[in-house]
Amino acid sequence: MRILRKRGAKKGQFVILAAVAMAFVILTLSVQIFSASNINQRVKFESYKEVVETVNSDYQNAFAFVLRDATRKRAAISNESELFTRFNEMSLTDQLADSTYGDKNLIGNATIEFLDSWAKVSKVALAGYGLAIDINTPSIKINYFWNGETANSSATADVAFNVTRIGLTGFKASHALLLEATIDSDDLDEQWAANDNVTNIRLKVTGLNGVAVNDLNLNNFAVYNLNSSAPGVWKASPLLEVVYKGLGIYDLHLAQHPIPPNETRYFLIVISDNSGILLLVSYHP
Amino acid sequence: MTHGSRTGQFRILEVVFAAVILSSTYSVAIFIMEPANNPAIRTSDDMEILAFNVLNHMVQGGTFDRVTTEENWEDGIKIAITRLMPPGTYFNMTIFNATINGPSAMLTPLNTSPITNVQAAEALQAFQRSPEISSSTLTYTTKNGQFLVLRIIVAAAGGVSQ
Repeated sequence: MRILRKRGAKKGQFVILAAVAMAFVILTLSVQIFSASNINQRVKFESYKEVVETVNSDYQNAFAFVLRDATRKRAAISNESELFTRFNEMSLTDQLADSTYGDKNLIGNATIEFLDSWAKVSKVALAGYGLAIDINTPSIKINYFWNGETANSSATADVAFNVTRIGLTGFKASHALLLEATIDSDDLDEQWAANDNVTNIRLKVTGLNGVAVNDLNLNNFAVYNLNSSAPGVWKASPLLEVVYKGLGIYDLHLAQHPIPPNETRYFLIVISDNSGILLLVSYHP
Repeated sequence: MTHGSRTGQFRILEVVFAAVILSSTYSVAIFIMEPANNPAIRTSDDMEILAFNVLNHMVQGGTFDRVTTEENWEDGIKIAITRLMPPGTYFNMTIFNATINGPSAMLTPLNTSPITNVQAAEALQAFQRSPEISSSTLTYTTKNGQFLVLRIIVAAAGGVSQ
């Protein structure tokens, strides 16, 4: 009996020892798995790609500011409060012109200087990545023609990023912005022929590649008439409402019609999209 | 019979004891592999991704265009970040205004009050005690042509109450 008891006790001790050994193995394995997965994650995540993408995205912001600023400088608007209110002080030649800004004039130089500043700030802020930025051939075109139905404001530039710290080179992107508006001159002519008056101006607003701009409302438009008793001076013609018809087409309903006799039927339409880019378009029915 | 039944009882107790050892080992192993304070945050890399994502999300939403144009804008940004952060995470954000100074850029802090979810008296301790801490930096050009440099430090909570 004593022998049997001893054998039973030994077996019980073996079970406990085996359990302790298994516990030791499980704990060791779990620590090793945790360490291995931790190391794997550290190797896997490198934020260089994200940094380049966000810098590129911010370049788009800087680029949009450049076009916004240039179009406003061309229209001699220095701040937001002047928008839609100062055209009655401007002469026809100042307002309606065909302009191309490269790198040889005041606005062109300001544009290049701004983009250079942006590149310097990005490099300083992200110094740890060894970021190198190269901006190529930025250009801005602001086209608005006297009695020309269509006008546009556009900008283009290429940019290249290199992350010298890890040898990531050759990330290139092309940026382009466009705001274009075309007055439906046939509609204006028909209204004029039928009623000897114009109550509504229909125009189409598009962006890059003809994509419809569909997020404008009453606050994005202003309409002016020429005052025949004071040649060359524009007078604001209040809008009743702006109706979006789809495909970038808007109907601007004039609050005041028939047009008073001392005002001509030359229309100047000022459009400011929601990023602030300015566009002037004019037409005479 | 008496000795035999006692031996059987001991064997049962030994097996139960072994089972307790094994199950408690499993519990400890699971505890080791997942930090108890926040299962969503495990490494400093996760913290870096979190910091980057928070900044990127706010940048995409145009949050920083309203900086300096609204009263107490720091509080608005603090609330926005708090909503984006998982619980048990400390953050401290600084927004710099970048201006060009010769060939380089100069960074000046723009926020006059701290943008953080930690009390000033506890801030140092909170970030020092944190088991995981990381940071992320982005640049943002506002609609007014202002250059902002956004820097956020995030830390997993550890030892200091919020």
